[in-house]
Amino acid sequence: MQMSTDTDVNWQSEQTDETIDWRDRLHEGFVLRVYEPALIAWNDRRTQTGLVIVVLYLCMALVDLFGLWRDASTSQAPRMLGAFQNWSYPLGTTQSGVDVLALIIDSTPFILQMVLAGGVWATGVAVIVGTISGYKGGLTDSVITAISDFFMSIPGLPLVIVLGITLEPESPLVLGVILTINYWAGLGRSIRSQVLSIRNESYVEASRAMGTNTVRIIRKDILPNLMPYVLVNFVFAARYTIFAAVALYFLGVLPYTGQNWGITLNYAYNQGALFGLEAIHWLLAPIIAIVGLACGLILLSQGMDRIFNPRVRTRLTGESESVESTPEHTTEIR
Amino acid sequence: MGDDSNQTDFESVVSRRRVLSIAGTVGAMTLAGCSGDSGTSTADGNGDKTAESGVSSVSFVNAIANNPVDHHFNSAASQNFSWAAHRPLFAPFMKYSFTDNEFLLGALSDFQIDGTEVELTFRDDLKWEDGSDWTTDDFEVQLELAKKVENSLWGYLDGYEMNDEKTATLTLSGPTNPKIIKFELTNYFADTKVSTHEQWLDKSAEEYLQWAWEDPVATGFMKFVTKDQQAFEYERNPEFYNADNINFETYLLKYYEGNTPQHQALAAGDQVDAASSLFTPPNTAEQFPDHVVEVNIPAKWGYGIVFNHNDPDFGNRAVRQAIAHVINREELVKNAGPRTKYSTGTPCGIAPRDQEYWLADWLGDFETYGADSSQTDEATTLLEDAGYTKSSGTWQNSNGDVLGGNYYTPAGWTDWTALTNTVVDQLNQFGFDFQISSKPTQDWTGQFSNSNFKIGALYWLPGGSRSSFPYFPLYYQLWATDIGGGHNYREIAESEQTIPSRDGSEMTITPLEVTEKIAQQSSDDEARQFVQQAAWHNHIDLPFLGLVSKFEQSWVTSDEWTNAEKETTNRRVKWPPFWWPQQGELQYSG
Repeated sequence: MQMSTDTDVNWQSEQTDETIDWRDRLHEGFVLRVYEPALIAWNDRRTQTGLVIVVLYLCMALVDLFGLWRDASTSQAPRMLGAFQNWSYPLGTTQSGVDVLALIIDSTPFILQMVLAGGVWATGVAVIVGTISGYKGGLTDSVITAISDFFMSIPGLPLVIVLGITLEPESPLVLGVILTINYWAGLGRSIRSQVLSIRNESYVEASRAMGTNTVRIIRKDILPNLMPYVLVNFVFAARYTIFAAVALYFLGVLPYTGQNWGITLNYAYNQGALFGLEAIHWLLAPIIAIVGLACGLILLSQGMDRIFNPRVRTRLTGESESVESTPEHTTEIR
Repeated sequence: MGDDSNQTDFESVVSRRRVLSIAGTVGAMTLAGCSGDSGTSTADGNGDKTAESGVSSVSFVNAIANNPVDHHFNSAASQNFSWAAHRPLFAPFMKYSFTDNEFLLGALSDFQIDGTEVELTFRDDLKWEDGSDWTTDDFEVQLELAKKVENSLWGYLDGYEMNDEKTATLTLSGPTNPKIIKFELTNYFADTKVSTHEQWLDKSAEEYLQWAWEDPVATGFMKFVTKDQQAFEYERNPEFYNADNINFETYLLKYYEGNTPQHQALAAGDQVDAASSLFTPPNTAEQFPDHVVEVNIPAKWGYGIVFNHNDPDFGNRAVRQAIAHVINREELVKNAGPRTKYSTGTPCGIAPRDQEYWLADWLGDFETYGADSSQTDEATTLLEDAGYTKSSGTWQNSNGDVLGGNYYTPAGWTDWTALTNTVVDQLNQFGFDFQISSKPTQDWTGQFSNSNFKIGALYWLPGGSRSSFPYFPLYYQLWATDIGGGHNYREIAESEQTIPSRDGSEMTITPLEVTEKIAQQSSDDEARQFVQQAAWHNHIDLPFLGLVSKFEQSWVTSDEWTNAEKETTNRRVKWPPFWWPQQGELQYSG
């Protein structure tokens, strides 16, 4: 062990004989990163509900992938059956004799992939841009801010329509990216503001003083503080992706090659589902599917917020009693 | 010229591919009921009658789906012409009644054809709204402009002569069936005035086609007042030759964005009085009040399949015939609207309900390809004989390429979407591998015009009354004017083809030559043999695959307005809200 002198400060801890093998490290990591956050999140009913809903959609996607329910096809059933009239077609059928449940299930993998792509793209780019811009400052900040301003000034919807028609995206992943093509700009600006505040915190100063490189500081000191905000905005971006896709499919401006909830909604609307109750199941099924997924994601994000809430985590580890009476903080959902 | 069925009908305008593509798009949308000229008017006003004339101060409201601000009255224009806005303003030369299959005279008082000379006599009382006489000087300008934009009438004319102020003689370039000239003239209106149109005689066709005419001078039953974002507004034209038939003061073309808002307006019962052309699903129609009356007129237009004949697979006759065998046409009708659609007996390029008349004793020999069944055994045999094999449930050619690809279809055409879904499902279940590619209308036709496709949905009849005469649909399928010949069949049509004959042996035929002979015969009986030959070739080689046709749905109301009686001549003339008032069949009775 290196000996310190009276004038030098030794930052190293004392060496012990105790050794930690990889199993212990793995266990510790699991407890710290998975078990405890999961425990905290699960204590919240919103997380439970959100998780159940999202898992339900994942199950629907699996049902489609493994072919456990019939594929949607015309003339596969009696035409215009109402919901719950025939349990072979629980959600009813369309004018063309398509099983509505099959339509919903068929669309689920497409929608989930699109939502994931939209969320990851929007928040990923925003986080990168926002943190670099906010932390580095100076010329880097100016350039990134100027680029963000440019993207923020482009009207989103017309841009998406033009890109959709030009690129004719068939992949849900590409479509998700196109739908949130300039969503990152506004979010990036918000993240930059938060980083500007965090970068002056004492622990960040300390990291800098120790000569820690920028990437590590951003990864270890700044990003964890942003995570609640990022996660919540991931859900917002995902929800925006669903709504944007459905709206544009409904309006018929996006080219399509398969089924999805927006197209189903469009068919139902144009076949007169607004008139009378005969076709109402055809209209309601995709609406419920859309709203259900959006609600599930929002509830999940609210619950996830607790994972990153230091007060809640402290309470779990029993390190502070003072927080007992503190009202729980949750991120407000707009 | 304003087309009887769709203003920018393809053959009738210009030959340039781009312009035709646009024209085809607009025309197609019109025919599909997507352009939304549906009119409903509630009787606005107090209904008082003026003492002298007996005219009530009420408005007839007809719904449209074209924003008035974006549309104008130049019927030759390639873009943004509103055929509905044009109709109340100008007297048609003649109309076609689907009730009696006869031509009805409008601005014309007589039509005579003798050899290669056609004598047109116009009404003495045909006047412009300012009281001046419509004369053959106006007609001369109209013909010159039609020549400039290569209107299809000039495909039959060598020249013309104006005999006096009300009579003109057209000189035909050769023997021509009178019906062809009559059908061409159903696309003509007294809408060209020397003082407003002669300025374009010295200018290029492109400039004329781009002219947005905003201050029309009327010869029809209404004259233009104003337009805004909500409506075109017209008032009664006392100079109209049948002005006595018009007993209401104003006519509104009210703008609704899309079909569903028009459905809602009709369902409300008191918001509109008519909708000229509006596809309405059965369950929606059931919600309309009793006084909303549906008038079904054969559209002579409908859903079919266009093939790219340069494609190594879909240019193969056996593949096209296999597709025809697989598709169950009755199933298409059931899925997309049994009330208004009907399947074709045999896909031979002739409108479904005209086949029996024209094919006569040949009809029994035509292959039907199974109108109400999916004949997969026949299709399998055809493909196997042509060297295709089925692997893992999918048909492949000798190179291992899958038989399939993008199937192009227009976005937003409700009934077509259901038809496309059914067709693609049936074909894929048989072993093709198609993906539906839905595109905005302009892009959809552009895909065909640029020959950038293998197969897709396209109307197989040109539409309108003229489709009753087989020459027009047969020629349309060979030449595909609307898509600039993008199906690559023109070269085939002009060359000698060998096909199986009726007795099982082989016969040779030059399809275009035979089709053009139809137009040159002076009577149906003389034309029939050429119709039969051309249709026989068509149903063997399938330039297009005709699947279904439809009734045009026109809506009027009977609570405050009179309607033409069922089975009367005027009942089934396109379009009732524009033709009936001229004939005194639609009057205010509130």
